[in-house]
Amino acid sequence: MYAADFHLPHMLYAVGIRCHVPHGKIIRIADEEALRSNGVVAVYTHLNAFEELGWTVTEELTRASAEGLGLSAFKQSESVVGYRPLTTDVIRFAGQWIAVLVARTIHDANRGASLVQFEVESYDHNVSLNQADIEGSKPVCFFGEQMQVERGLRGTADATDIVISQIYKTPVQLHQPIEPSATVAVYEDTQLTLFDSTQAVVATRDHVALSLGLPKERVRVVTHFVGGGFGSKNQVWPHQALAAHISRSLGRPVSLQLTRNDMAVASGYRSQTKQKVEIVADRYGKLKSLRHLSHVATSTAGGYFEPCGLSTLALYPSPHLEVGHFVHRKHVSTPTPFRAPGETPGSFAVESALDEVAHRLRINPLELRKLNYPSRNTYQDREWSSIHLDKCYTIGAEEFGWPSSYVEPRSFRDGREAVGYGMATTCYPADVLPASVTVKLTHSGHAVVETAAADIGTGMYTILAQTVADQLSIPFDLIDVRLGESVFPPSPSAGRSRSTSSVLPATKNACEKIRRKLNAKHNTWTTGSGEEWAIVETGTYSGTANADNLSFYSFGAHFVEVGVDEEFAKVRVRRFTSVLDCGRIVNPKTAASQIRGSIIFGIGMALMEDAQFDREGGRLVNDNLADYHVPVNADIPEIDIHFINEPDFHFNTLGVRGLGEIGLPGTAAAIANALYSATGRRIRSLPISYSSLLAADSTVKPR
Amino acid sequence: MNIKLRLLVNRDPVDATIDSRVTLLDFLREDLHLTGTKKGCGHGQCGSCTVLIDGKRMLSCLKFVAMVQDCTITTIEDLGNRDVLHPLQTAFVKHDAFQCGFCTPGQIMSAMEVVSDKAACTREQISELMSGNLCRCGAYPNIVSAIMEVKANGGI
Ligand code: FES
Ligand code: FES
Repeated sequence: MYAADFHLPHMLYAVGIRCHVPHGKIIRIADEEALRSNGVVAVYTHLNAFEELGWTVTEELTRASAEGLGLSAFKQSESVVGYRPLTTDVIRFAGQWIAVLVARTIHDANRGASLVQFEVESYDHNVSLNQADIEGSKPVCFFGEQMQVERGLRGTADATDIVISQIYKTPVQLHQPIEPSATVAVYEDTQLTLFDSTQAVVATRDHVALSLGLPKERVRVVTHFVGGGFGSKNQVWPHQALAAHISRSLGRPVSLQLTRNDMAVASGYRSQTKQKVEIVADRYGKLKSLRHLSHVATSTAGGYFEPCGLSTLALYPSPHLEVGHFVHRKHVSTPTPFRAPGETPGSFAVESALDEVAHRLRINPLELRKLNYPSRNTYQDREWSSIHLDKCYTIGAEEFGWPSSYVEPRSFRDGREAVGYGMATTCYPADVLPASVTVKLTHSGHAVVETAAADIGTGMYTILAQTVADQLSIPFDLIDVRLGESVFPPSPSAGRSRSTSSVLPATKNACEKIRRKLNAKHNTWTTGSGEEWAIVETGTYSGTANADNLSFYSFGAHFVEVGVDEEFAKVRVRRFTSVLDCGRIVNPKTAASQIRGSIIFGIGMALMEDAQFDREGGRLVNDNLADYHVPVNADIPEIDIHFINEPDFHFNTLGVRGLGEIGLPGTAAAIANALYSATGRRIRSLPISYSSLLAADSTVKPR
Repeated sequence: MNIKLRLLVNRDPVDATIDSRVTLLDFLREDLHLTGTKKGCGHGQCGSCTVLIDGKRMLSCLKFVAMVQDCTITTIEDLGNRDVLHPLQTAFVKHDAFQCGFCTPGQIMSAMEVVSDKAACTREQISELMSGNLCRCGAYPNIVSAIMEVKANGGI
């Protein structure tokens, strides 16, 4: 069951009441009529939440929440307050909850919410990146990397060098998992059970316990299934603790489900970026200088910003390299990691710019990549633990039928469609954290596997069972995997593509301990009886790689064919081939599904996804699934996935790396590059529509 | 305004007195506790609430209970169970036609109609007809493969 499917006796329903202005102050809230409405039990606002719910905000709570991620990247001098709804009359973004109403049924709650009236004083607002944003604040270190880097000398370009200097833009993008976040809280006898839709079971428990002032052991988080997250459920957001506080105060279970509109502001999004990329290359295409300066937006209260330069640092061995990030505070809600954060918008800019270099020099974009091949991580000054990007290029080109020489834009047609080819490189760091897993064997030969990690659709249930089946030679059907409970041994959140590399080695460790015991007992565990469990072992993994002083990354190459129907004004992706180097593949089926899914995110990013602010009102106008367009079935062509499937034993003894995100970086650039190949028109601002193609200048004369 | 509601849900007669403005989706989930049908948006945008009303696929969030008086409703709960899966469910599992699974009940209920639609034969046609059901995880090509297989095996 998913969180919102839990029904408990006497359960109450809470709904948030949203403010429509992006910046201002709450003057008055009138809830009398709502309170008289059928079934309404309570209305909480900043005026009574502290008294009635014990609801407040502290620095410690902020740091343990979504608002806190990234705060440490900013200098001390910048005092960031942190935001929690119902703690102040200050309005920081449109869509902020200014009240939460609780009623006996969801029907009563929705009706009651429509009766709450409020008055606000509205101040000037600024919600989007604009011309005036020059410097911004300069964060220092984020995601373990420096955010302001300069290496080598910029020098001056030689006469035969070429210089590409362009601005690339990506809009606000919404995660839009099909399951809106939901929390069902049951507080009984100083004990809380939280049925929650989260990627981060342990962090949720810790935050909510802190908020309630309870010892961690008294909070149990249960997350058996999550209806997609993509980052939106990887941090802790206010509704999770709020449901718990309300349940404590009213002494009844409380269900708090975010609406689709809430999802656009109350659980993060990918923020807007404006990136300048400047490349100096010699006449053969060898990079001499690569500058990547990213302007990104964030909220007035939080810490998260999009670290666009992450893969730029690692991927291209340019003698001069400059990566900078400039953060601009706006009257918007706090953004959060979104599938391959940073790498995704960053790679759109850099992989597009490289394509511009290739076309300027009239060389094959694939040859340009090979010429600037990252044989080692020059930024970290380390060898890679394992790299097969060259094979990705070769196999991809072969499977796709990539042209062997330079092809002019507008060279291919198929009926009404102008056809173009594009490619891009992707890479993603291989991350790992400490994890622990318990494996229990019954006398009858069944195995039970338990860990707190959540399966958000990534296939964790399946690959854990596979690992135990392999390690202990137990039939797959006799293995019962139990995930997503905070009472199980701790594991990292399902984010940053590190579940596989953290949880599987811990599972292997548990199995090895079991095997040692079995050897000592001469393998007689299936015959004994008496207690329920014959053997119980908890395996752990330290969360460090096997080898030191190496750089751990996954790589891949995307090849795409697009079609532009110039009569019917339609743009589409015709076919897509990707080759990925992500270590040993545990399950080719679920792995391919992960990559396909992330490529589909990339297709959405390239051609449709665009959260728009109303300039006057400063409100997100398309915070729903009708107006915010995501790919539908008919938008998706054949997507051909190949894995190199070479284990990375320097990383862990199973040779595995995570792969939930690597398909997304590079995809939008590959599509933009293919559209250039089809039309001779370069689009540097996403999403790309037929009208943006029409508006762009063509570098090719019409025939 | 409360109404007296009578309908058939998964072959069982249901009688209730309920506010006429309650949606069929909320009624199924919150009053009948049939939570297999999912609420992805509540506004007809995602398809995750798809059920069969008198054999036709419909978005249950866009129907007030007052509109389904005397109708026959079929939800995912009626299709199969853990031990005996419906052929569409078997095909979805085989083709890895879901990741998080949240859109899946809606996809399958939608597919119930598409599988028996004689006009849908090619991958493209099925893809088009399944485009009212969003899958953010991106299981689309696999969903089409699953439906193609059930069709090839003679439908349901
Ligand atoms: S819940 Fe009905 S279409 Fe989304
Ligand atoms: S499987 Fe997750 S939305 Fe379709």
